[in-house]
Amino acid sequence: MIRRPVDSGSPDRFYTLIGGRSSTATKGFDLATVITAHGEPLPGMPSEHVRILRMCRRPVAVLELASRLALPVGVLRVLLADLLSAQRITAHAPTTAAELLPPSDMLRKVLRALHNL
Amino acid sequence: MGYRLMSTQGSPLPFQPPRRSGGLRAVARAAPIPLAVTVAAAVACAAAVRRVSGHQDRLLVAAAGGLAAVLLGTVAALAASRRRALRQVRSEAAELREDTARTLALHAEATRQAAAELDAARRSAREAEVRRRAWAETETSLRAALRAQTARAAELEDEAAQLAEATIPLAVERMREGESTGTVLAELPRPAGQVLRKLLDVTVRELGSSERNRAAGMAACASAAARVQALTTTMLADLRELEQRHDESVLDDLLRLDHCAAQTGRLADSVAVLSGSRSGRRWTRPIAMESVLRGAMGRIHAYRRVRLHTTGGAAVAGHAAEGVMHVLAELMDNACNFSPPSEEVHVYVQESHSGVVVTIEDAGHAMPEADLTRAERLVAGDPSEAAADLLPGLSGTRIGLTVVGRLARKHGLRISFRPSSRGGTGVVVLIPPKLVTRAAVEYAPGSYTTPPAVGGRYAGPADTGAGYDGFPEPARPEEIGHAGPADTGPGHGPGSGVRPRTAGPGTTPGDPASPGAGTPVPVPLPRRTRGRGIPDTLSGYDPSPGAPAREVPPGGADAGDRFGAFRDAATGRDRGSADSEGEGGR
Repeated sequence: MIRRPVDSGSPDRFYTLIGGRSSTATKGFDLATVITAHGEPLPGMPSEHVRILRMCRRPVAVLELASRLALPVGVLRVLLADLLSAQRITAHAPTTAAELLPPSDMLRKVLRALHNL
Repeated sequence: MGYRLMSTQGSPLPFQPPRRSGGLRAVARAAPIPLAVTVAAAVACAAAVRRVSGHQDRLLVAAAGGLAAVLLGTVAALAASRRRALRQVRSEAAELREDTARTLALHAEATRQAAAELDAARRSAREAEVRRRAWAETETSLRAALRAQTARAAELEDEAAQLAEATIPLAVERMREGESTGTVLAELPRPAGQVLRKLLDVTVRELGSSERNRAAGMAACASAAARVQALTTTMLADLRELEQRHDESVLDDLLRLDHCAAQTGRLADSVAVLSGSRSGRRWTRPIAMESVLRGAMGRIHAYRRVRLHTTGGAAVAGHAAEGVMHVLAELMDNACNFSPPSEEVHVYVQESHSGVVVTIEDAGHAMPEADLTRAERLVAGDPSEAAADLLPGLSGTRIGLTVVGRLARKHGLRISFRPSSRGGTGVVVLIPPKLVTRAAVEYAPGSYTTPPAVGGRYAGPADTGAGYDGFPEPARPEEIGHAGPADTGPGHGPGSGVRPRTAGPGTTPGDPASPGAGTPVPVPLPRRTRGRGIPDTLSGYDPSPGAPAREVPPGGADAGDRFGAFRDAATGRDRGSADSEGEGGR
C-alpha cells in the first residue's frame, strides 16, 4: 500500500482550542485592534495564550497575531476574549497614521535640512 | 402286608405267640370234630361195655374206653389244630414270599432307576466338565483379548493426548506463523491411528482455511480502514485550510465538520489497529504533550467536558505520538461515556523519572471490581497475546479497551485503573521515558525561558515561571516601553544577550550544546519531508534573523506574515520557531 505523505502539521484541532464556543459571540475584536499583554504568562496556561501574551509584550494587531499563530481570526477572537476577561491583555483601537507620524514641524525641519544638503 | 413283611424279615420268632395264644381258639374252632370223635368213641365204649357183662370188666372197659375216647378226641383236636396252623403258616409263608418277591422287584426297580440316574448324573457331570473347560478357555481368550484391547486403548489414548497436547497446538502455531497447510502437515509428527491421522488432517485443513479467512478478513478491514484514514486525513487538512481561508460566518460550521471528521478518523484508526494495521498518521517530530492531549480530546464526542491540566515541556516522540493520542482518546471517551454529562473529565500530566504520567479522572460511578479487573486485563501488556496476534476480550460493541491494549503493548505504555478521588474512575497512563522527549521543535510554552533552565529536566513553564521570570522580566517592560518601530538600537542592548537564546528554543540543535547537554534530550536530525524544501528544523541553524524568507507562507496569511517577519527581524526574534508549526500541515 502506498503510504501518504507523513504529517507535519499539528494534531491540534481548532475547536479544541476554543472548547466549542462560538466565534460569533466575540465580536469585540476588530482585525486592526491592537493587543497589549499584561505581564508574563502563568504556568499551566494553554500554549496559545502563552504565545499571545509573549507576542503582545508590545502592541500587536489582531490580524498580525492571527497570521503569526496561524489561527483563524474567529478562533483567535475567542482566545483573546478569554484573556481579556482574565485581564491578561488590553485591547486598543488602532492608532491612526497621524499619531504614528512625528510632529509636522519636525518633519518640516528634516525637509529643510535635506534641501540644504 | 408291610408290617408282616417287615416282621418276618426282622425276626421269625414273634410269629409264634399268636399261634400259641390262638391255641384255645383253635381248639374251640376244631372242637366239633374231636368232640364228635370223642362222642363216637364214647358211644363205642358204651356199646363195648354193654357187651361185656362183668361188672368189674365193665367198669374197667368203660374207664379205658372213656380214657381212650378222650385221648382220641384230644389227638384229633390236636391234629386238626396242627393242620390248621400248618395251613396258616403255609399261607403266611406264601404271602411272605409274595411280599419278598414284590420287595425284590421293587428293589430291582429301584436299583435300575438308581443306576439310570447315576448314568444320567455322570453324563451331566461330564457335560458340565466339558462346558466348564470350554468356559475356561473362552475366559482365557477373552482376558487376553481384553488385555490387548486395553493396551491398544492406552496407546490410542496416548496418541490422542499427544495429538491434543502437542501436535495440534504446534499446528496452530505454525499456521499462525503463516505456513501453508501442506507444509505444516508434512512436518508434524503423524499419529499411528488411522482415525487420529484423519482427524489431524481435517483439523489442520480447517485451521488453514479459517486462518486464511481470518487473514483475508483482516486484510480487507485493514485496507478499508487505511482508505478511510487517508480520506479523513485529507478531509482534515482541507477543513483546516478552509477554516483559515473563510471568514467567521462559516467557521463554526467548519469546526463542527472538523470535529466529525476527527471522530471518523479515530474510528478508522481503531479498525486499523484491530486489524493489525497502524494508526493513520505519522508525525515526524516530537509532539508536545499539550498537543497530544488536545489531539486526543479532539477525537471524542464530548470534548467540551474535558479539562486539560498540563504544564511542562515534555513531548512524545513522533513515531509514538499518534498511538499515545489514540490511547488517550479512547480512555477520555470512556471517561466521558461513563460519567454524567454534567460532570467534567480532568486530565493531568505529571513528569517523573519513570516517564510522563497522564491521569484521566472522571466523576462518574466507580467501576465495580470485576469491571476494573477486566479493564486491567484488556489493557495489560501481555507479550504472548501480542505475539499471537490475538484480540483478547474483544466484544462486539466495546472495542475501545482492546484497541488501548494493543497500542499499549506496541508502545510499552503502562495503564492502570483505580478509583478516582473525584468519585469515579481514574486511569493512569505511564508513557515510558524512551517515548518522552522535550518539545524542542514544537512551540514549547516555556521556550523563551528555557535556556537558563535547561540544566533541569523539568524546565517547563511551571518551574521556570517562578525561577526565571525575575531575570528577564525587568528587561521586558523596558523593552516594551521603547519598542517603537524605530527602536532597534537600544533594544539590542538586552537583545544581544537574548540572541543566543533565540536560536535555542526554536531548535533542538542548540540545546545539546547548552549546559543542558547532559539531560536526555534527543536530537532529532533535520528531516526533509515530502513536498517541502528545507525542513523547518534547519531554521535553527540560520544565523540570520531574516530567515522568514525561507518559509513559504501558504495562501491568505501572506501579508500579515511578512509584516510580522519584519517585526521579528527588528527585535531579533526567530519567528520560525513560533510559526512554522501551525502552517506545516498543508
